[in-house]
Amino acid sequence: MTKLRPFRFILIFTCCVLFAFGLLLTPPVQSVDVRFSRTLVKVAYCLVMIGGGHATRDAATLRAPGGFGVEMRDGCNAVNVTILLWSAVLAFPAPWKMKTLGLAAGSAIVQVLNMMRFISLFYLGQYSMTWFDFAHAYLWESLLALDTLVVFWLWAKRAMRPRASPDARI
Amino acid sequence: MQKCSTILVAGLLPLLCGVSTALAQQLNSFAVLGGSTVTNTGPAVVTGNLGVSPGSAVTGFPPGIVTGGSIHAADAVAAQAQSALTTLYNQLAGTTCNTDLTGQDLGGLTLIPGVYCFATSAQLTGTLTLNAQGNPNAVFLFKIGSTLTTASASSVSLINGASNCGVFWQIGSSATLGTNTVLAGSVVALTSITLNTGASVTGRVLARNGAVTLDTNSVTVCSGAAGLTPPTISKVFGAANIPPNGSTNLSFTATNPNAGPSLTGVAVADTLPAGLIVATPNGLTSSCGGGAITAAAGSSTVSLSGATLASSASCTFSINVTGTTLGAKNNVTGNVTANETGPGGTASATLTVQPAAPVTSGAPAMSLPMLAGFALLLMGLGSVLARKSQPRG
Repeated sequence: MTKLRPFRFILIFTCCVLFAFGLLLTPPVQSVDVRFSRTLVKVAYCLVMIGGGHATRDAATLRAPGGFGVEMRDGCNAVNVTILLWSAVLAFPAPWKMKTLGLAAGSAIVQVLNMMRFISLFYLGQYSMTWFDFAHAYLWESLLALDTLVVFWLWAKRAMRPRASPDARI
Repeated sequence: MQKCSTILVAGLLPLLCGVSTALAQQLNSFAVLGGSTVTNTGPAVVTGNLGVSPGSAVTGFPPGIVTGGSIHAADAVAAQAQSALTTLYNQLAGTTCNTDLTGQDLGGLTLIPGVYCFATSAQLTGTLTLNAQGNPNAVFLFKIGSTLTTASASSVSLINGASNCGVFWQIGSSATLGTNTVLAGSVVALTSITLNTGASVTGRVLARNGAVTLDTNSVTVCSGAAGLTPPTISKVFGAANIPPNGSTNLSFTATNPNAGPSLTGVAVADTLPAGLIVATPNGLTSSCGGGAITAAAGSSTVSLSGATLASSASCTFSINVTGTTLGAKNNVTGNVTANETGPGGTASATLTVQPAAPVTSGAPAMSLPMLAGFALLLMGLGSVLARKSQPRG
């Protein structure tokens, strides 16, 4: 049974990924996806203003007074990364309570990081497009991937701890 | 030419305006030109050239004086001017009438630009008012079959931008201006012209075959070529929109619309609207050979002066401008001017300084290859950890 667990993980993970990305391509979910992106831009706008910055918001675009703007398009809202994390958490052999915790905490961490990414790109683009391109294409991708892997690893390690219940000790 | 066409009936226009433009240069400088003699009594003042051809007799200078020109008695210059006068006379005579005023006294009338005809003689008693209706290039032509006679102290009053260069008196025989008459325009007579004591003309006194007789008069050639169309100016921005602190090209094209003479001293000034300045460097290029262009980097004024435009020629000069504030910048030049004409029109163009288009994410938070690789990595990590995990209780 233990030997089968990796295969079971891969199978469930693959099924979850295919199902979730398939769902993401449907018009109703895409509509939700767009609204989600706009909400994230709203949050980013609020954070910039709270931080004493200056910006204007137009739909999914955050614009600086100088004219530079960053638009959050499909895929920029880190939903795809979240789907992968969710699929891994769901496929991993762990109690549902742990899975729920993993889904919630993992999603939050990924979104917080993506928000940092979005706002940093907003300021970086005003400073230098060269740095913007580098950070956009390489730096933040790597950080987001690393972050998700670490989140999953930490969660899985926690899920693998021997449970405190008498049954688990047997 | 175009402006003339707005005020005169179709068909007559090309002829009338064309006449003036083609011949203006040759006649431009002559205040007085006679066919047989030019005779003066008293201290007449002629401002401009005085000539006679084919006759050669010029008498009465002094006491008369010629300023701003010289006396051409039967010389080549006078002959050329006389030749031009013949052409001018014929073309004026061939112009179709707008309004027949035969039998009416011009005194007390107020006329708008057009061609007015008298089958026989014409009389001016009192004041004739010519209203250009705001068009400095307006042309008034009086075609008189036989004689023009003015009573003492008669006058021609020019209002609303009318120019004495745009008034023509084409006379089938002779003209006699009464004492102290103040006449405006070019008197073009087939035979003779007589100015009685104290009469003055601002324009030209041109007799084809006969004598010009002066008596203590003032004849001042008008300062421009009658009917010569002013230069035109156009301008265009290199782009309709630029981002803040972005630059684009601004080019001006000055054109001489006249088929005949050149225009000299072509000038135009342009004050850039607020939020638009001459770029640093200004990127000045010009095909306006003789013209001086001023466009200091960082300033908001651009000007051209002293350019010469040959017949039907254009010249272009351009600079780079920088938009410093957001918004639509509507830029209107001053009037383009030339030495030989009244003021020309203006040109306008609009440039919008607007925020740059948003930088759109070319790649998502994670590109597709990265996402696939990451999925495999996650799958590998998960499967390893799953293998090590304890069996569920």
